[in-house]
Amino acid sequence: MHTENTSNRGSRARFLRTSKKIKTHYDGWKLGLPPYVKVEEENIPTMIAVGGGKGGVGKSVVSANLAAKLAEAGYRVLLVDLDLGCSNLHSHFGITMPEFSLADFLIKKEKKFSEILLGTKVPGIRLVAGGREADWLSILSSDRTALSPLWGELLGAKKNIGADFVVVDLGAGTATHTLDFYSGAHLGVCTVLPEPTSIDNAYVFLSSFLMRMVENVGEQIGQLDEAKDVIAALSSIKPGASKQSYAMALISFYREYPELIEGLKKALLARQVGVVVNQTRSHQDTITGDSMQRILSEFFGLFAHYLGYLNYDDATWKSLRNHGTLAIEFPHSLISRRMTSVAIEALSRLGFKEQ
Amino acid sequence: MNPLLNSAGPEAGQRTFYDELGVEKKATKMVIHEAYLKSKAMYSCQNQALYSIYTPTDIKNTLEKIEAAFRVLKDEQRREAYDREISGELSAENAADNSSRSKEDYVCFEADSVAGAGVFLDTKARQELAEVFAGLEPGRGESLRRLREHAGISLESLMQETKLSDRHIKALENEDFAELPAFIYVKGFVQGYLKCLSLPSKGFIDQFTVHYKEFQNN
Repeated sequence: MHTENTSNRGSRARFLRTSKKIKTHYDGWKLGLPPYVKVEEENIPTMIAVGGGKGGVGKSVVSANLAAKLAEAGYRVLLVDLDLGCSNLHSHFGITMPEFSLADFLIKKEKKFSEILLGTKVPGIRLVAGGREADWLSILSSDRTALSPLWGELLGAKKNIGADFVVVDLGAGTATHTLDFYSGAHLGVCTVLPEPTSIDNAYVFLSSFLMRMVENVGEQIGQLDEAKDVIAALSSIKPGASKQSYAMALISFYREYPELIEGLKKALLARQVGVVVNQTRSHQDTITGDSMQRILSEFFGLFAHYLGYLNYDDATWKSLRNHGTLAIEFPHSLISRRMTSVAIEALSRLGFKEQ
Repeated sequence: MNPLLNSAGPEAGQRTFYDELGVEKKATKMVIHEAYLKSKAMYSCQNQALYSIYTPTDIKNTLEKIEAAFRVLKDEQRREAYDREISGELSAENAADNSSRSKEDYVCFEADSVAGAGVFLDTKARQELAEVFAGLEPGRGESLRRLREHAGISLESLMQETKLSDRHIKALENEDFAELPAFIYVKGFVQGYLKCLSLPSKGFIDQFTVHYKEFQNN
């Protein structure tokens, strides 16, 4: 079944309901999952995680608006706020205090997952609020598998509630569950500002992601010790000071651990890293994304793609004050159109574009 | 390109000029030109994405490689020759032979300390040219023309290299000083002309100044 995007004049691209690319890379995708995640069936929604390391770079704005654009194109989207403890994604959708949150499902265990889904004013988006319970911190740090019921629900969302996409909004930092969800995504969006602090943090975040991938693959194929060797070697590389890059180091390990590196390559091929540069003010700012794409491919060995930039626009904070998304509050603003092209680029990268 | 895609070994990661600019091998001239401008901007000093990954020396080297790549790929003849070379390198039979030839042909990229200087002359041609240069009268337009003709560079390609206009090059070679702008620019013209031939310009310009001043005083 095809859906057609009619609300944006000029962009009449057609997209497929399902992606062949994701199906072909299914095994590779499974190979990079955290070991406690169980996948029962192949009919899974496409997972998009929005991360980026630093706080305040626009992860929530990007995830809310990316979800809105996907919904606009005709997909059913499940949007999950995983900034647990200080979640605020609901305020992008006109919800001041969410009635239920993940805490009801995971901590209090009083509600079923289907009961905590919130309707939003954007048709096609169901929201799961994160909850602001202070307990999150201790729960997440003591038990890595604490979120595994959530994993089950998200991966089953296509079968159970018909979601085409699951978009998870991750918190700042490199917490275990943040990296786990990023490594479970088909598309890991990395949001950055064209500022040194933000870009530095993005590199730290993505190098942690790379190491988490080595660990996950190692565990999945039963070569955890080998993976630890590789991680130790990668950690000794200091970007900006040494000639060695992560990618070249990984290639050089091929001789000793062919299985692990081959598996890692397969797992990385099934995952895209999408760079979004937010709050650009000049042409030079937009080039930052091109540079990052090249560095992430050549230095990190990730399969990275520059999805697009979002210009600095007053519409962003105005729409937030109205508790709404850009696509609804300011559909004709430049940034809303930039968001559309980010969504189109993401869909093409994921293989939803009709050939 | 992601190096993991050819994980046959680090030796297999031989980068071509196309990789340097991030274009496909069949890219059009326009695409190559755009990729060149973009690559240059990507590695410019204002770019925030670089400094925590690459050292200033790395960045300088990359910029030089980008220049070198563009120099070859923008010119159809050189590009064809280069294409033949890299496709030859792929067939492993005479790999060693080819790599030595490629060094011969393109030595002026690495040897030239001034980025963006010098047209394509191999070492031998440059030595010959330096000898001719030593035998000519310094500071004369006629000498400039002889050097250019000896190197086999047409007026058009010199115009492209030095970004000088046809009129100015002719005026320089004919010592038609009335046609030339203020002297401070003319000095730059001569310098660019000689740099293009990979020749030292200092003594030559001093002599040229003497001739120019003579003309001014008359």
